[in-house]
Amino acid sequence: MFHNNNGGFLSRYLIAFCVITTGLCIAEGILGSLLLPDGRLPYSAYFVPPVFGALTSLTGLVMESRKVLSVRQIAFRLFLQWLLILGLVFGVNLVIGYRYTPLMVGIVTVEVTVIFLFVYLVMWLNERRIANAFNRELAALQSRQDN
Amino acid sequence: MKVSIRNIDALSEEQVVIECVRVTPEIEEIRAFAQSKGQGLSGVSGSGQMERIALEDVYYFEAVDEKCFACTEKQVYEIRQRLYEIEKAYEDYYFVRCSKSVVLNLMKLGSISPALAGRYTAHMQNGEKLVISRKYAPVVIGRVMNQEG
Repeated sequence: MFHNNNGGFLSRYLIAFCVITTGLCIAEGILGSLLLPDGRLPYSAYFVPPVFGALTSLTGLVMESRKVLSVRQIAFRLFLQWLLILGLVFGVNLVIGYRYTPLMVGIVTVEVTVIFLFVYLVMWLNERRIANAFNRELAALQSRQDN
Repeated sequence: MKVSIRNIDALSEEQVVIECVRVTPEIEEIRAFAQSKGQGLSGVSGSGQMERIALEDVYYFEAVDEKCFACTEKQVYEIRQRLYEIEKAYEDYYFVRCSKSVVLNLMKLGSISPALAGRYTAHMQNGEKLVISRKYAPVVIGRVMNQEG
């Protein structure tokens, strides 16, 4: 995971994919039982969360840059990523013929935003875990050097 | 481990000899430590004077507009080497590239903390903060995590 530069992107992509897929399954379960309690879905519905998980995780590419980005640039790219995900979700549903009511637009936007923030929270917690482990090893290394 | 010190007359004859059964990571650390103690480089200080800088006093090297600077606790020196040369030359002395323009000294690093979107902030022991970019974060982390105690 730490030995090459592509490993960083791959691990972030996999974390995003797993969190988004899980988040979509939970959101579908909650929203479905609230808004369409009598609805029935075919087996193919099982593929929707992983397909959307894979597609929306790819939007993480907008965060890749050769330059060291400033906090402002990162914030802008995060906003761009959020817009891309919304465009992807609404775009795919429009293409397959689904028509959203204004209420559904609002609900889906909130759903996407919550999952988006949750993905970054999980990634941040993972990075904090790595940083803590690093700091322990660094202190041990420096202590060995001092002695 | 047995340690012995023998006094000699000539400064140029000073040396550290390590006698070991096999070269373990611990022995490698001792070697790197001994080498870094004598290591130094020349740099031009803010007052325009050429001065000798001990490598162990350098917190980080930074490239700005084709120029390279060595930053110690309080002073900044302009040096003649390029950043990629420094990265390669001082790799064994716990210097590691943390972004496109900075090579930091792990022995002067206080801690790291996660920043936004895969980046980390390096908190140096003198209170300065440096960015560890997404590209170089695995390199910096791997460098410390792969050390065997």
